[in-house]
Amino acid sequence: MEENRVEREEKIEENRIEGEEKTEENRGERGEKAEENRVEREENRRETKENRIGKAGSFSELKNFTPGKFLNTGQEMLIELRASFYTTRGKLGLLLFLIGIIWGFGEVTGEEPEPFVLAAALMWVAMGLAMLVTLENNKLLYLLPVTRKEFAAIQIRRMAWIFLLILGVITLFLACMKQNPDFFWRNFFLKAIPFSGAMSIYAIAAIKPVKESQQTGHKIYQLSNAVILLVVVGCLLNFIVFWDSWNVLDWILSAADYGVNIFTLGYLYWKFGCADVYYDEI
Amino acid sequence: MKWKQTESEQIQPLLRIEHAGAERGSTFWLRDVNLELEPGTFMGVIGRNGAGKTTLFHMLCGLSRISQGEVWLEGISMKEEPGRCRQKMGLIFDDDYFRLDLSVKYAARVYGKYYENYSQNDFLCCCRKFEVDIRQNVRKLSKGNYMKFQLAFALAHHPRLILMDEPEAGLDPVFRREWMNMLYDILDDECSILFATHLTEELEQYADAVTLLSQGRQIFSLTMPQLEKQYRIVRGSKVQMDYLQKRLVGRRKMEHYEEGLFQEDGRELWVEVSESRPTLAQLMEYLDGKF
Repeated sequence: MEENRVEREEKIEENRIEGEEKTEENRGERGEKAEENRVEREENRRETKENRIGKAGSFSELKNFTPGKFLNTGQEMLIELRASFYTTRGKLGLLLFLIGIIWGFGEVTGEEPEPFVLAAALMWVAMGLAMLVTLENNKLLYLLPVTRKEFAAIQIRRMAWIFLLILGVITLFLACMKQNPDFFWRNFFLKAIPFSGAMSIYAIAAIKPVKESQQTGHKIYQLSNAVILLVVVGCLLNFIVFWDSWNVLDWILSAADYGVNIFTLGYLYWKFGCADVYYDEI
Repeated sequence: MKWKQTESEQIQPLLRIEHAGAERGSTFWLRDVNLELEPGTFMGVIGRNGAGKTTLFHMLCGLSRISQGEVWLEGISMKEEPGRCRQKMGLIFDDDYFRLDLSVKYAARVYGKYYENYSQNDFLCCCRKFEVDIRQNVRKLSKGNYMKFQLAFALAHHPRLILMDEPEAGLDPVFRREWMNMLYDILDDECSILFATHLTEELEQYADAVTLLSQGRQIFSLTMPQLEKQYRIVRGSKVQMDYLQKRLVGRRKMEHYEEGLFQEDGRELWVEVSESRPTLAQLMEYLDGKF
């Protein structure tokens, strides 16, 4: 018994010494590895900093707005458009778009086109387009391997495409009106461009993300409702009021509408690209 | 930290998380997570509901803010360059982040463009291999096919790390086994998998390493051999277990004997008790809330 006890105690002592040696070894190893990690981190930080400086020097933000990227976005939207024709949402969007076009053409080819009716028809066109080409999934956007600035640029490019499409439709409407060229150009610059801009901004800003379910989605970038309201009301007022009469107020209204559009565009880009919001914080 | 060495060159771990934490408002959802994942490793993340598995994955893929510590993927900081990190990640989630009104083929084509290494041909090959109908609307895919679609998309952009957050929830047992086999097939020296799951039995078969989370904290992050060495289940009489009490992590009473989880401390067990390797489910049970 006594021998066993002594043997066991010896064994325990041996284990203790072995354990202590191992601990010392591990400490030494950990110290070396911590040093290696620190050096590696420093190198990475330096690399990141250099990359940033490199990017700033080469105007990387401007690279997001090249014609190639613009065409790429167009191709992407075309694929979405084509695919969405096979879905109920896409079909509904196409229906709205076509109704808007037919209604608008009916109005502009009539005797006395009413600007209010024309604006309503164009809003249907814009809504249809938004349904056809608007990506409706916020979570995926956060998961894509793009920076915030790149993502903001993607949205601005999409907006530009929607702008061109709506502007094309309005131009066609204006061309179909039995009016003189002076009327056409004034309405083109003072009404059609700001209206198309506002509608394209609305189409992008009004994206509802899928958070948990489509029904409970919040506004994607929390673009203030007041700003959306401002841009829509502004463009409608400009489009409807003083359609035929050209006076100072009309010019002021158009200029104000341009101003509102530019401000909203900047605000949207800032919200997309600079707001430090994570998906889980929305 | 373990380093794989090739000749004189040291290869850093694919994923390194150092003291990372996530908070929402004033509440911490996850704190002080430290883990490393080597290339070609299959690591399971286990824990009870609310342990912080999904928060960890959200933090890794950029849905949640990393409010503490650092996350590095191939030496790139997730905080500093999240876009570059996401290029190297394949994501397979249980919820419907991918569901839009596009067919499988078009959805992949549209979103594949954002990845530098994406190949539509590879995607189509994977779909053929996994038997996913490319003309089907993504929204209309069955749960199993939706998972396969996500896996095919992830593989098509050649990720270094695949993150999977409980993809098997709601799937039948046959498919689960098929799924695990598929994952095992895609593992190679280039690609690692981080897999949050409740399928502890499957993990025991397939995983190379396991991380256990509990109440937003990390209990351990060990390889399977380390785990085997470190923990043991001991069974014996009440007297025997009383004798070992101070050295047991947890203990419970069974019908004819008592059982406890013993953590290796370098010393011998001084009593004759039966020992066995703990299952992951047992580890979860005994270690939950112990930190």
